[in-house]
Amino acid sequence: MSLSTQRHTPDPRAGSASPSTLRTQFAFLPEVIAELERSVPYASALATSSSGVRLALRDSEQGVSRRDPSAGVVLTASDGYEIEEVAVGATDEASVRDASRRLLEGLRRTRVGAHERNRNAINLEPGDQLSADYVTPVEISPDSLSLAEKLARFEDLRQRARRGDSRVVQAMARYGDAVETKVFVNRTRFITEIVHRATLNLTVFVSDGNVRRYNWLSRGGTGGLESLEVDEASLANVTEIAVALLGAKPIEPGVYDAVVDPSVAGILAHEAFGHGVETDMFLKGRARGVHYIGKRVGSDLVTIVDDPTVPGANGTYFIDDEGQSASPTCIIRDGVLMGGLSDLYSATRLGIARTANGRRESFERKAYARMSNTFFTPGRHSVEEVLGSLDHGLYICQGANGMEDPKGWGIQVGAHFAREYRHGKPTGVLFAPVSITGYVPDVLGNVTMVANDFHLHPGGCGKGWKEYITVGDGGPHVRTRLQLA
Amino acid sequence: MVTRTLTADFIVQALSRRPEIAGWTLTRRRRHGTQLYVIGRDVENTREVTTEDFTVTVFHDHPWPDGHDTGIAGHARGVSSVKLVPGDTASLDARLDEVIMMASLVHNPSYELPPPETLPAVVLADPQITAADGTRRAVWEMAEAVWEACDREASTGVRLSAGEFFVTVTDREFRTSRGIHASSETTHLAVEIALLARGDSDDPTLEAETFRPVEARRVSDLRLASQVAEASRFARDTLRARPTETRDGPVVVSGTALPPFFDPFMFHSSAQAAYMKLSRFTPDGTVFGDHATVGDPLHVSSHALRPYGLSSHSFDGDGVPGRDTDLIVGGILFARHAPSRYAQYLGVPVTGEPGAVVVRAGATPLAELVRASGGPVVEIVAFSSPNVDDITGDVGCEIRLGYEHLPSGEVRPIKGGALAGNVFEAFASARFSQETQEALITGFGGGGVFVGPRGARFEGMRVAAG
Repeated sequence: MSLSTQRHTPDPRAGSASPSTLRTQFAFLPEVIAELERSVPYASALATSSSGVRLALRDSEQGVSRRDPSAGVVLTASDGYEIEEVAVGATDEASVRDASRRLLEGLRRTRVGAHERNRNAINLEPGDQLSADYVTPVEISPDSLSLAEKLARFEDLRQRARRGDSRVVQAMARYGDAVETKVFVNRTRFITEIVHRATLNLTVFVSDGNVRRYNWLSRGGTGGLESLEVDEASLANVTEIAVALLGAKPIEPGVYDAVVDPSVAGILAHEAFGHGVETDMFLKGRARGVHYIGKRVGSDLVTIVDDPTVPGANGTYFIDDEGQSASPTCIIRDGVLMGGLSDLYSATRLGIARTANGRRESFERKAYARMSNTFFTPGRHSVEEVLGSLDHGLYICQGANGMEDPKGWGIQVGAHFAREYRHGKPTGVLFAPVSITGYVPDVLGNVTMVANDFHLHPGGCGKGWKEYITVGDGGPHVRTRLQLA
Repeated sequence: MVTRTLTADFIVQALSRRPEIAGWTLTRRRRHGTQLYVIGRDVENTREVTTEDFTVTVFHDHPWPDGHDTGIAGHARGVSSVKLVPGDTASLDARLDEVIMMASLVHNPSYELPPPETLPAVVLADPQITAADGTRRAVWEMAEAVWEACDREASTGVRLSAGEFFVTVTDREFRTSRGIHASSETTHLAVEIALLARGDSDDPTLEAETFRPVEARRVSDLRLASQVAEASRFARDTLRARPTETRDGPVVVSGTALPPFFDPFMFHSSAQAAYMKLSRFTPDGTVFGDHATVGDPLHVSSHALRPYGLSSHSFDGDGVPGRDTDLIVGGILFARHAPSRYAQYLGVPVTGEPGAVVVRAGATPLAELVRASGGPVVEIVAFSSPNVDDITGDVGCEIRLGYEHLPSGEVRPIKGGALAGNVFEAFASARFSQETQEALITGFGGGGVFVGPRGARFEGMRVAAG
């Protein structure tokens, strides 16, 4: 058999999963939950697995590997005051039943003194009856290409970027596909979810012998290879901008009229009022937003939504990791803060409605209130109108990173570069890098135009410096006034 | 033979039956740990986590495809990895088929796994934690220490918002086709605390927060009482901080804000960066480019043998013994940190994977570095995030807390705004404090440990108003 035509072996942990196989594999979980609930008022189980392929391609070096496959089960129980969990890196019945036994032992130990430690009892509700199976729609399955074909396809893309300019010193392509399965069980719910995912990142490094710069493009999200298409113009643009950045100037710190592209707008939304309305932060007193529900925090052009149901987006899912069915949450409507994103514990403690935002990094970590796909909603102006309105300002592009400050409402967003605009036209002058800082209500309050385009970008999100999950963020082009450095 | 769960021996036997494999490494990792999450004095969640996995990396030699480089050994070497769990016994052969197939499809210049050597003894586990029930005892010990320390701060208006306490024991066995068979046991403790300060006002929107992550291998190394005391002071100072003003002039970066500034130096010192044609450093060349060196000489080393060091190791992922290595001496690239693969590619000495980033302290007291003469000196102790670009060395960090040291001797807290500049330019004129610190390197690029000066003074960076 020719290696080049060999398909990769289906992974028994995830790659070959179907709702029926998951239901069969975990048919014992309802009984485990019932046994736990003979001792405690609430119990649930989450079984997860992930598997896929990862390619890393660069000059004179190639890597291909399984994408950190993992499989495990976390059992959750509440004695009415605290939550206790046992997580095991195994999915067989014997291991899970052993974990259940250890969970009860742990509860007996921690129950001593739990009432003294926690002043308020908590009653975790399992939700309405629901039995459902969900699978991400895939147009072009990653399995439709052999591994050799994937290598050839993305190496060709890399080589085309590599040849774009003589100043390119390195080009890197990273591809990954994955199948992530989830089974959630409590006394009212047995839900399976299979999420397919594909991502591509291409980074081009250039040098003039002294200065080094780089630029990148990212594609992908949930679904299949259909989200990874890169047209020739986009490919050429990656290299052209990297080369142009060799002549970029540092920005003069100050306040600027600015238009941010959807990638920067997305990070603004994510950092400004994504993290700031995670309701576990409300419970901990770490978010100023709790005092501003129903109050104005931005101009009336600002509407920010978190939505795990956006087809194909990177932060899309059907149920969260606590069994809550996905639905959109309007965080800010017409400049007024509406509410937060909750997990089961904080929603119960705060007495607020649950949203589908209880997410874990993996079965090894606890669930927190986390974002999914967070974005500004589109406005009524064309992109050309928004950019054309800049009499003397900057078009800030290629969002790179950000950091939240839910308590102080400060913000930091790193953008890769900015184009200078005069009289509605680009001058050809580039500034790099660009750091956006400032006070969140000022940033949102100064929004004067919102374009009618809409793009979501794949990203990763941590809570503090850990708890990494997949998210999407974006929106339209947004005009505001920003403090830059 | 019937084997219900996978073992390292079982995998080694399976690998030895595969003549098409040119080499292999096997890492078995068993972890167990306890996690405790508290909100104030209330316990939210207690978790026990147990995992075991095996990572198998295989090498496959094959001819280069037509038109490609002939490589060091005249043939291409493919490498691929697969992670297995104890339940994979029945599928082991299929998993090995797959990883061998994957390795056969990729083409890299050849390199060899290192031969067995005597491995240094490096103590990385606290026996009190590895003892039975040690992880559970340790998380409660850490929480009690934080609660007690916060109680001492209560009279200052500071309280604990939330804390997270992680204790993990990792038992690792490492084997290679070259005959290396080594093991290690490590303990890892991680604490995150968020403190809230409220002033005289009853307005809850006027509170300020300090967030602090700390990691160590022993509870005593966390120094939780002093961490809480300093975080408490930062929270109180944030409460009364003024907005930062734009100014050119001397800037001191101190405490945990400083370590990420050395990330670009570690990146460009690496053999991998050189192999990728991304390193701006050349052997025996200055690391400051065209910028004249007028500050303290920059000495950067990698130390892998520090007892209980978070970045320490007896052996790295290829089996190379851990060691201490001078990388930058007097601002000149002395050696690259080079894992076995990239050392062979470049023809430079093998150092193995780096350990702690160790920077030689200066001769000036920190109090002298922050002393203002003609105009104010800005000292920054906390950024929102350390946004330092490894490739370009560009810095653009929002100031979470700093201090303005005035010629009068007055010290005023500031917040907001940003520090901007470039580390390769700034370090050419940097002066380092004689006081030292051991701190985590946190950031988007991942963790690590920094051992070096408590503060550094830069003349060429810019503070922008918020």
